[in-house]
Amino acid sequence: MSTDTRPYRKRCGSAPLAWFMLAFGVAQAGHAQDADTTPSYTYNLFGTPGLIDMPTAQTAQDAELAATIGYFAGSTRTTLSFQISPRLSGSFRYTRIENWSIATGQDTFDRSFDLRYRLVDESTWRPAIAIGLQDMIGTGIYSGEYIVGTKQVAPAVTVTGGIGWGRFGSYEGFDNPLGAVDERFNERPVGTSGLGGQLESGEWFRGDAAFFGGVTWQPTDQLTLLAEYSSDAYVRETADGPDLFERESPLNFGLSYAMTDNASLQAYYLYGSELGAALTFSLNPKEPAIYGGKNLRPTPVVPRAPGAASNLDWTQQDDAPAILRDNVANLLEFEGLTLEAMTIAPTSTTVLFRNDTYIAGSEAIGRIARILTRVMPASVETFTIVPVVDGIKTAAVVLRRSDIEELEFAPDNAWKSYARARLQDAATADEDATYADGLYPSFQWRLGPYLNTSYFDPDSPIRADIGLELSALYDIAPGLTLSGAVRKRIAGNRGDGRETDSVLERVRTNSAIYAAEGDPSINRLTAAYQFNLAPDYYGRVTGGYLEQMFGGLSTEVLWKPVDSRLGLGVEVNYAKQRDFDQLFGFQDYDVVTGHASAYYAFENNLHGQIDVGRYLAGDYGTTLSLNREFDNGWRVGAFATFTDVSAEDFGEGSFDKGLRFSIPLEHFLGTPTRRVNNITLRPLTRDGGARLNISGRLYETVREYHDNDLRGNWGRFWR
Amino acid sequence: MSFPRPHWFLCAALALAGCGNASNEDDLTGQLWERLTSSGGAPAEAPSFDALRAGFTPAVMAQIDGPVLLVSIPTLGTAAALTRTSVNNGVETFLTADGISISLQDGLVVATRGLGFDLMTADVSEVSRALRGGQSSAVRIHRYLDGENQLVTRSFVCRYTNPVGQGTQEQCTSRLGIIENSYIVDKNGLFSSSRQWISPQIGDMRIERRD
Repeated sequence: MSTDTRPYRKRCGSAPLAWFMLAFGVAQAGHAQDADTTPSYTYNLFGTPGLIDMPTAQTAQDAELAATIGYFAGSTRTTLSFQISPRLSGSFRYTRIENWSIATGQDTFDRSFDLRYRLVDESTWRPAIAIGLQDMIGTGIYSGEYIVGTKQVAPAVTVTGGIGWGRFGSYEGFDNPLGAVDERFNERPVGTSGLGGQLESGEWFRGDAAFFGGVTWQPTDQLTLLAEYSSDAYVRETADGPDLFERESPLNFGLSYAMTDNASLQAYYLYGSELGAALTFSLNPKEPAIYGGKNLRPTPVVPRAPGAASNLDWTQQDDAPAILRDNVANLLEFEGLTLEAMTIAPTSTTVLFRNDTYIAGSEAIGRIARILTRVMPASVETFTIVPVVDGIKTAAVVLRRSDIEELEFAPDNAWKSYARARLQDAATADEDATYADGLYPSFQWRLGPYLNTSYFDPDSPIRADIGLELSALYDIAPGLTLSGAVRKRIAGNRGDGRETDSVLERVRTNSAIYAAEGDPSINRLTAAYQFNLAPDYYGRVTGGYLEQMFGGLSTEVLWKPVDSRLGLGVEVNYAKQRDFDQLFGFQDYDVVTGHASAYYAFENNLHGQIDVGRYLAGDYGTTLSLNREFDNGWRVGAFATFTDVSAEDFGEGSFDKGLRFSIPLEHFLGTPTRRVNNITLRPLTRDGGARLNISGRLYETVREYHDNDLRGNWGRFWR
Repeated sequence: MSFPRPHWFLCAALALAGCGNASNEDDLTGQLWERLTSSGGAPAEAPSFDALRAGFTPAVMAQIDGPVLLVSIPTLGTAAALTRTSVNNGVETFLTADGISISLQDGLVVATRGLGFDLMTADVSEVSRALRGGQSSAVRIHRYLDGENQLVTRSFVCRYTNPVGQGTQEQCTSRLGIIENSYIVDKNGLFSSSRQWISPQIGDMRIERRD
C-alpha cells in the first residue's frame, strides 16, 4: 500500500496508520502546555466540523488535520479531514456499515471524499456560509450536497441552518428550488455511473431538498452541548434487510468534551433510539512541539582582528590545509554534520558536507559558516558551502565572511543574510577538493524490526506483517552505492488477501501472493550511481532488484537550476517482474516504462508535479500531483493518474488516485532529526497507472538546497 | 496523555527500534517515549541557584579566564554557569557545558540558543540608552521563529522606574501582555544582577555576572 521510496539514510519504519495514531498522540503531549483558546467548532460523526450528523458552515483552523472515528447503529466511520486552505477543506472517509447487502446481509466497506468551501465569512449581522459536497466521488452511499449558514448569536451559542440535497434532502424533502432554474434539477439520477471513483457531478444538487439545522452551546472551555434537526432519513439503513435502527425522531442530542486541545470525545443520542460516540484527534502541521527546535547552540562567530586579513603567512606552512581541514571536520562532526571534501585557497574556501541531522538545510549552512569563522585564517573571506546529498553536489551557497561577522546579532539578520548570500550551481565545486580520509568506502548496516501494512481490503480493513529486516549500505565512492534489504516475516496476515480479478497485467494486485511467498525475501538489492551531469543537470542510474515486485534498470536525468521554480526530468526504466518468492528469479512479464516529469513550486507553498509516460502495465497516461507544503517539512497532498486503461478494465475505483503525507519527526520531538515518514494512502490499489518504487529519485534529492526550499526555512540560518 | 492506543504506539515504537552501525541511528524510540510520558513539568535534578552561586567564590573565579554568568530559568526549573567564548561587535556570547548559549549586549539578552522557543534576535539599542541615559521610555523588538521557521517580530513599549534599593525596573507592554525586567548596576556600570524576560515559553531569566 505504501512504500517508502526515500533513500536509505532517511528511511524509517513505515506503518502509516500506527504513525497517524502516534502522531496525534504525541502532538497532544507536546501541546499540553499551550494555552491556545479552545476552538469553537467540534467534529461530527462524519469527521468534519459540524453538529452531530449534520454539517455547519464552520471551518477548522488553517492546516488542521483531524482524525475522527465515530460509531452509531452499525455504522463505523473513520475520517481524516484536512483544512486545505483557510476556506477549503477536504475529507477522506472509510466506512463500515453492517448488514448492508439486502441479498446476503454482508457488511459493506465504503470510501468517500468530501469537499467544503466557506463562501462567506461571518460578520456582525451575517452568518458564515459554506457549500459542501459529501461523498462526491465514491460509490455514493453518503452522497449529499448542502449550503449551510452558521452564526454565533451569543458568546457561547451558535445557530446553524441549511438546505441539503441527496442524503441531506431525504427527510421531509420538498421540490428542489433549483428546479425553477432548470427542470433537470428535479430528478436525482440513482446509483453510480460506472465503477465508482468518478466524480458524480451529474447528481449534485439534484432531486428533493430539505432543511436541517441545530444549536450549540459551550458552557465551559471543554464542553459543548449540541442539538440538531437531521434531514437524513437513513432510508437504506432503516429499511428491511439492513434494519439497523428505528428512526423515530429527526432530533439528535449530543455533547463534545475536549479532553485536551488536541483530543475530544463526543457522545450522542440519535434519532430517538440510538446511542453513538466519536473520538477526534487533531493536530496542526504549523504547530510543532518546539518552535525552532531544541537543538545544540551553534558555534559563535569569532570575528577577525582589524587588519588581520592581510596576513598570508599561513599559506607558507605546508601542513596548514590538513590541519584546517581536520579542525573543520571535528567541529562539523560535533554539530552533527560530516565534512566530505574541502578546498583551501588564500582568500576563499569551499566546504562539501553531508547533513544527517538538520531538517532545515539553511540551519546546516548557517552553522558551517560560523564554524569557518572560528577555524579559517583571517585572509579567507569567501565561504562556499556545498551540501552533498547521496553523492550529488546540490548547490553552492557563497557567503562573505564579513557578512557573517556583521550580521550575527543584527536584529534583521535573517533576511539580510539571505539577500547577501549567493546561490549557484555546484557541478564543478569539488575541483581540486581534497576528500576527507576514511569516508569512502564505508559500510553501514542495520538490523531491526519492520512493519508492513496494507489497507482497505474488503475482508479486513487493515492487514499487517511484522518481521525482521537486515539492511546494508556500501558507499564505494561519492554517489556510487550498493544497498539492499532482506526481510524475514515473524507474523502477519498480508498474505491472506483476496486473489485479484484484474484483467490487466498484474503489476500491483498480486501483492498478497508476494506477501505470502516472500519469506524470507530480498526486498531490494541495487547498485546506484547519482551524479552531477553538467551545470543544472543531474543523473542517476540504478540497477538490480529495484523493489519488491520488479527488478531491472532505471535511468533518470533532471534539469533543475538552483534558482528556478521549475524542474524537468526524464526517467526511463526497463523492469521485469520478480518471482513471488522475491529471491533472485524473474517471471516472464517485462516492460519499458518511464515518464517525462515537470515539477513546479508555486507561490503559497503549493507544489505541483505532472508526469506523462508509460506505466508498469504498459498503459500510457498522466499523473497529476498537488501538495501543500510547509516550511518545516510537512507535506499534505493528493494525486490522480489517468491512463488509456478504461474504467472497466481498471476495475473498482476507475483510476488510480490517493493522498500523500510527509510527516517530519522533528515536529513531535523538537530535537533535530531528518527523519520524515512518507505515507501514501490509496483507497484502492489496482494495476492501471502504477509506477516503479525507486529510491533516490533526483528531484527530491536536489530540491532541498535549491532556492525555493532554502528561502522557506532561512529563518533557521541563524538558529 | 493516556488514551491513544498503546497497541499502535508499541507497533510504531517497534518499527523504530533496531540496531546497526549507521551513525545516525539515534535513539528515537526513547525520545518519543520520553515525550509521551513527560508531563511537561520541571526536570527533577537541577542545581539550585543558591548552590551555584556559592560555588563561584573569588578563589574559583581567579582560575577562570573571563567573566562568568550564573543563570537560572524558573519556568524551566534549571540553573547553570556559563563562560564567555566570544565577543562580536560588542555582543558577548556565553555557553553552558550542555549546548545552550546566551548572548548579551550591554548586559541585555539579545539571543538565546538551545533552549527551544529561543529568542532569535533582539533590538535593544533604545533600551540600552534608556537604562544608561535615564530616558523614561524605549521600544524593544524581539524576533522569534514560528512553527514554520518564519521569523515573527514582537515589539514592546517600555517604561523605566528606579524604586529605592531595587535597581531599575523596566515594564513593557505588547501583544504578548506585560513583561517586567529589573537591573542592578554595579560600580563599573555593568549589571551585577538582572531579571530579564525572554519569550512566552522560557519566561524570565535571572542573571548574575561575575567578572
